[in-house]
Amino acid sequence: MPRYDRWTDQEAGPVVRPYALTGGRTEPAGDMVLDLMAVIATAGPVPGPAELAKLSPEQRKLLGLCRTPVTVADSAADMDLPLGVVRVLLADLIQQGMITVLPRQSTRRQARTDLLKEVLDGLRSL
Amino acid sequence: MGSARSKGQSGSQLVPIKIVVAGGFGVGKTTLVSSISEIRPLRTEESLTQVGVGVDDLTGVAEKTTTTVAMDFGRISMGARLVLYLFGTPGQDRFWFMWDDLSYGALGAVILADTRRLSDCFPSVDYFERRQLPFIVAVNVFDDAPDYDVEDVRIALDLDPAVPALLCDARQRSSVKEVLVTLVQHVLAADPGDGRPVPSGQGGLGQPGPVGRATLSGPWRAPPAHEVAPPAVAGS
Repeated sequence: MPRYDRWTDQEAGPVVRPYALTGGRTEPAGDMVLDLMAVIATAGPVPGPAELAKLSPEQRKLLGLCRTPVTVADSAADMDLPLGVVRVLLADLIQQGMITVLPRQSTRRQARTDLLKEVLDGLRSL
Repeated sequence: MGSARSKGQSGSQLVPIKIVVAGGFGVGKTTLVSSISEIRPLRTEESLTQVGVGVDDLTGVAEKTTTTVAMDFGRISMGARLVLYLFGTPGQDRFWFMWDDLSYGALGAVILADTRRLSDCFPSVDYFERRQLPFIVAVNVFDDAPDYDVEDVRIALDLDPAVPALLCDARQRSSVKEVLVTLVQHVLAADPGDGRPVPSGQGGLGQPGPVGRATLSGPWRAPPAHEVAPPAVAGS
């Protein structure tokens, strides 16, 4: 049962309005707006069949994507869902402890300078 | 929030770096991004009740509550952990609400300019000056565009002398590479260098808080174009 029947092509958009997948909510739970570059990954014990059954197919797919750390932007691209919808779905999974936002690298001077130099070297070797 | 079961320092396995590519509609932002990176599609569907007041004219379309923005971003993997993301800003004025979201935590920005429509990049210059996000100006050289000296462009845009400006060809990978190298060098030169954490939204290579509205500068409250402050005085 494909959820993304298209009327004609990509331009026509999905039959299901995107926020139907979030129960109509357009704001993430707890006002949690995830940065596009936030790195997320699965957390906690591996959910059993009973827990998985409570999740929507989209949430299950998100959990699968997050088995390896991924950015919010990449997860939205992989899901082929609007960013706002993915943010709502992710916030729910974070509140349930199934996904976590991984800590960022240090913003200290040396770490930052080293990182910038690493980016520069990376660009030059492209 | 939600970090109770964090996997220690495993976040260091993936270090995303973001660069924003701004400029007027049709200036070649997508061309530039696709010249150097793997393109990924991103859709946003934002509620107009939150974002569109003053931007989208809702007269007679009160029942329309969301607007869809299709955009791309580029991805360049550098080694095992570093991934560079290139985000083009939507060119049309009505998508100003996306700008805070896109530029939050960015390393810096490239403003792509077309000499035939130089005024199209005024709002971008204003925006990044106001946000104090390091930026450079890259003049995309179109075949039928008048020959401009970079200095003329600097004057026309009233650029601060410290802001690099260069000519480029958005179709050429090597040229785009030079543009990005110039930006990163500029960011390095402008690095505070005193160990202070970089204020959020300013050339941020990582902010203290990954989630929560409080850690963002309000992605849905970006200023409509007409509220953007006039350019800062150049040379100040």
